[in-house]
Amino acid sequence: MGDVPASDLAALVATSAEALHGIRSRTDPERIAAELNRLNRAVRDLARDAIGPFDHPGDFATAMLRNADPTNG
Amino acid sequence: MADVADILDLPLARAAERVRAGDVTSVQLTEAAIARAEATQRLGNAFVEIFADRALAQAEMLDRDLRRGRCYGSLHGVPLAHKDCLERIGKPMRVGSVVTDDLLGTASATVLTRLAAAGAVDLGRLHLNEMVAGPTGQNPHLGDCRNAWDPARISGGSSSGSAVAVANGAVFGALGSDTGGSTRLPAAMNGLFGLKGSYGRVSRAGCFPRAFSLDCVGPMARTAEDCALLLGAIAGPDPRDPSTLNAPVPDYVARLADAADGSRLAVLADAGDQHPDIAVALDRVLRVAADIFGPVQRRAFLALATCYAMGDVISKVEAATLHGAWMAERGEHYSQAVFSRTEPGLHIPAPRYLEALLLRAKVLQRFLDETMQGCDVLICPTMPVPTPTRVEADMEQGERVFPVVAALTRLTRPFSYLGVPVLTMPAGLDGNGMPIGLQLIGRPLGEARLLALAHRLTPLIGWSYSPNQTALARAGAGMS
Repeated sequence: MGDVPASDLAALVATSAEALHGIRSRTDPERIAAELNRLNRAVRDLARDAIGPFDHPGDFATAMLRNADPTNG
Repeated sequence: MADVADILDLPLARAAERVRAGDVTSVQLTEAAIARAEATQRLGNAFVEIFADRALAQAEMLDRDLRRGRCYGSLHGVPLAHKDCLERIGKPMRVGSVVTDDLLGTASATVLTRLAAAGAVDLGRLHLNEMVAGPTGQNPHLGDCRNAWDPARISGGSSSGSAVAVANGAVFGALGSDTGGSTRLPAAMNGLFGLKGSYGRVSRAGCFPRAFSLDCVGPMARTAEDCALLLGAIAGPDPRDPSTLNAPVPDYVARLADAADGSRLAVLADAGDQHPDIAVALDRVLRVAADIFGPVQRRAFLALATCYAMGDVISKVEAATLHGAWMAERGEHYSQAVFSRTEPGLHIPAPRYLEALLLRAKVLQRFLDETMQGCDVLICPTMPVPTPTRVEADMEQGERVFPVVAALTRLTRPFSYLGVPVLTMPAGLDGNGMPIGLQLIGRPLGEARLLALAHRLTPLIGWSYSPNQTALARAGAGMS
């Protein structure tokens, strides 16, 4: 799946900041669009086949404790 | 009695011994620290506020109690100061911003309460990037915080004042907060040890957040032993911060002697481009380490860039959530850099944010099972580039915000996402005479091993640092 064309995303960004958040943008929408495409692609591509129905954010703390370095004992 | 100003140049652990032995009083030490903080302020700009009267009153009380035989703990009578993002009852906290006005603390941050319980003197509020966001130490509201080794170069951020105050010798240690590198980067740029502990190792209660899923409060100091002392005082579960891990807190200072024994080391094989001076420093440390610990393996971490992106997503969305109301009502009061870095968080799809959180346990497990398989500590540079000048790093030029942040944080942010402990240690000087930092990356809750490893390697690579070596001293800033 490719990125949204930067110009389309920039137009969306330019309107949604004010419309959805009541915030007047101070940043070039093209730059925000480039950031969004980069970040969206990176996470989406990894998540697509990796997340299952029973995953939970709380698993992270469990994994931290389960993998504790023995010098902490 | 030794000259008190000379004691300021000692490591924290040695100064604390002098206080306990009665060689110097806490009042004398605090007076000297105040004098140096004031003398170095013009060039370093590390302090937002020096608590002179309050600190001296605290020192007098500590001296009185010590004379009566009551020693509070390992930090008794030693002056510290901290990033201005930590709450103190009745004191303002501005977080380097003009948006927050003066937030008056209603409860002290847990870490400050714990340091006070161990006997530390609180000397003041320290400079930081606006809203704890930014790796440079540049803040249009406070003025630049300037590197202790070369005032023309950035201090690093966002815990800028913490690093510069310690490096200048105004205080023996300081707390910073780290979301994507904010303790490690300024520590590295100022020749210090700086610890981002495991996520949940240290309470964030009373610490103004950048991103609550990533933030870690941690110490900066001139030696690994000093970091161990400070971590021991602040680590552990806290009912005020439900994200703290319910895990034992070892005696980090005692474990300096043996926690690194038998450690299996690896170097990050795919760290990307790095400056030749940094590569040389890394190789030298690896050779020294191999003599003690055996061959250093080379390990790839293919998800490095992806972890960076996921940390970035979490940071931006959580920051946009926190700042949304202020950005709507008082947006013009933000610097261009912080506003521009936060704005994308308004637009990132909610599923991407939740995916980044949901994936975290699996990505961590994979990192441990693959990259860290058969090894205990992974080593890589803290920054792949030399410390830039303040002109080179100025992020108020709108088009430079994203590239500057990415260049400085490329090797720090991925490990914030993983939640593992990371200690930056000094590893030599670059061609500009500026410190180079290396990251020691451990398994969860492996802080004792990292501190012990740095403690053993430091003398072997010939690193020692006292504040009188700094550019400020050379510039005749009235250090004594």
